[in-house]
Amino acid sequence: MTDIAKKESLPAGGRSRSRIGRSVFWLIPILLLPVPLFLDQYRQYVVNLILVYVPVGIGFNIVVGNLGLLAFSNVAFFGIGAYTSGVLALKLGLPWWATVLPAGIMGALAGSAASVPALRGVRLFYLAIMTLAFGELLRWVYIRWVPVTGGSFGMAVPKPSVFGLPLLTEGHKFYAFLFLVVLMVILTNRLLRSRFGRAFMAIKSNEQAAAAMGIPTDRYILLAFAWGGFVVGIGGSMYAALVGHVTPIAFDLTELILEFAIIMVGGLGSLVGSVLGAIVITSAPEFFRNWLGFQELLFGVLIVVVILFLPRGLASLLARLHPIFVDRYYRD
Amino acid sequence: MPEEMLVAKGVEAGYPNKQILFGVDFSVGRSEVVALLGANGSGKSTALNTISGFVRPLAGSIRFDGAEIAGMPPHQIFRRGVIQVSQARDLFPDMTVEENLLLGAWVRGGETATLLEGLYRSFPRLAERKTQMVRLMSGGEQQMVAIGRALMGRPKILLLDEPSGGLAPTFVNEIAAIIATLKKTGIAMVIIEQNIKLALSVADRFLILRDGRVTQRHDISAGAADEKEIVRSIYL
Repeated sequence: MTDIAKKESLPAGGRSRSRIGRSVFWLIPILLLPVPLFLDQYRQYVVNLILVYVPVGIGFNIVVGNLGLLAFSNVAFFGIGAYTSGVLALKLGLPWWATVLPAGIMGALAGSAASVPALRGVRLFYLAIMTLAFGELLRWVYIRWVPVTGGSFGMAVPKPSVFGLPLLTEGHKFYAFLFLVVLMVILTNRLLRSRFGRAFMAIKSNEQAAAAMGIPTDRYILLAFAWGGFVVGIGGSMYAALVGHVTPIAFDLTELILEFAIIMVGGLGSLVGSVLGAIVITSAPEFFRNWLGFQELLFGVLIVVVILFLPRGLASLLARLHPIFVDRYYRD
Repeated sequence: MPEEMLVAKGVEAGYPNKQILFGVDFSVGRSEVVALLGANGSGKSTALNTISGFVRPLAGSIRFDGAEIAGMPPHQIFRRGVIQVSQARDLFPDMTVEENLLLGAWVRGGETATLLEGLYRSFPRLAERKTQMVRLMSGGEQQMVAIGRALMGRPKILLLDEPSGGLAPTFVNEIAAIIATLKKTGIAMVIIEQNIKLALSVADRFLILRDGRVTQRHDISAGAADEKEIVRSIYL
């Protein structure tokens, strides 16, 4: 292999060093395995909530960060995933584990539907407002389609189970969620490091040029929305299992802002950033509980400080530590 | 005339509420270089954008290597080897020179490493700057990246939209030399140029467009073209 070919297959660092570095990532979920032994039910619930928001951030980040489109329908995919799991469990009596994939598929379908304005060439603020409207439209559906969704009061989701084993405690849910999160991270990492990731980067950098280089931009935009919707839909399914109650209020604009904060604080276009953002944004309000009355203020200050001093998010801190944290196909 | 590679017949094209081309006919033979000349707004760029698929034709036919390509999306036309270097150069500003070049070879494939080595031999300036972000380069260097990236796609025909536009005189000469070298390699080209001297130095034939119609056709090999006469027929 020539130097150039080597360079093409791996832009930074040696292949073996990078592989060893990447294998360190495998240690993280293994190290997390004993976590439920040390936490009470409430703290374990917060950790589980973090796990729910990891795929939610990952899916959102693909469209907004990697593809660079201002599309804000993420909360719609989240809601669709949660409602799909809830409806299948409640109405059809399916166990939770059997509703996870359908929730992802429904999220992907919703993602494909939400990509229509983008495929028609709508961009920037126009795309932002149209995709926001999509999320709000779905909320209207949740509220009005009472026989299926339970309307404004929502629906109680039956206790989750995996292959006949009921997830009785938060600790049980943790293992099921950890498995799904690791799976989503691995699959998305593969996608973003492949030619798809390179195509997303090209489209983000200059869509016209990408098309001029023979890249079928429409296909990649659809794929990014669909995959984003799939991953977020899985997050929605986890949410339904965790909270046990799905209501339209959980998928409103405030929720969307929270999800947006996850990717901004974590780092746009960064897979590691989506994870970090989910950790910080979900756990911060719990820390601020000690300062009653100042929770929202402290939460706001945290977001402002991170974005002010780390415009590329918390992921940029890690990227400075080691090149392993640098996303292969992402540029500012 | 050499065997015809690209044949446009009765092409009408434009934008919503504004038709630009009214029945344009022309053809390009294998290894032939055809220059499209004309004043601003005469429809030269629209003609190239219609061939490359960025503008959908309203009527007419564009055949490339015997197949109809009119109305196809740009990426499918690119796959057939019709590669455009647009006026805006359309680079990926936040990527390095080498990343831009590699994206050129991505879809059409080929021995990427060999292509890249060959390109760096022809464009040593790009080899020196291969790790530089494209947005930090001068206009002339960016034009080189744009042409280099198009070559990485192994074009059968290259559509060059004002390759010398907005460049410093030294770069104009350098770009002219590059185009002359490309001609020797036998790549067919359609070139739009305001710099008539440059256009005539490489073209085998030229067409003059006016208000979206071809008003004149000249075969340069048939006799020396009078530059002043051409300018007169373009603008007066």
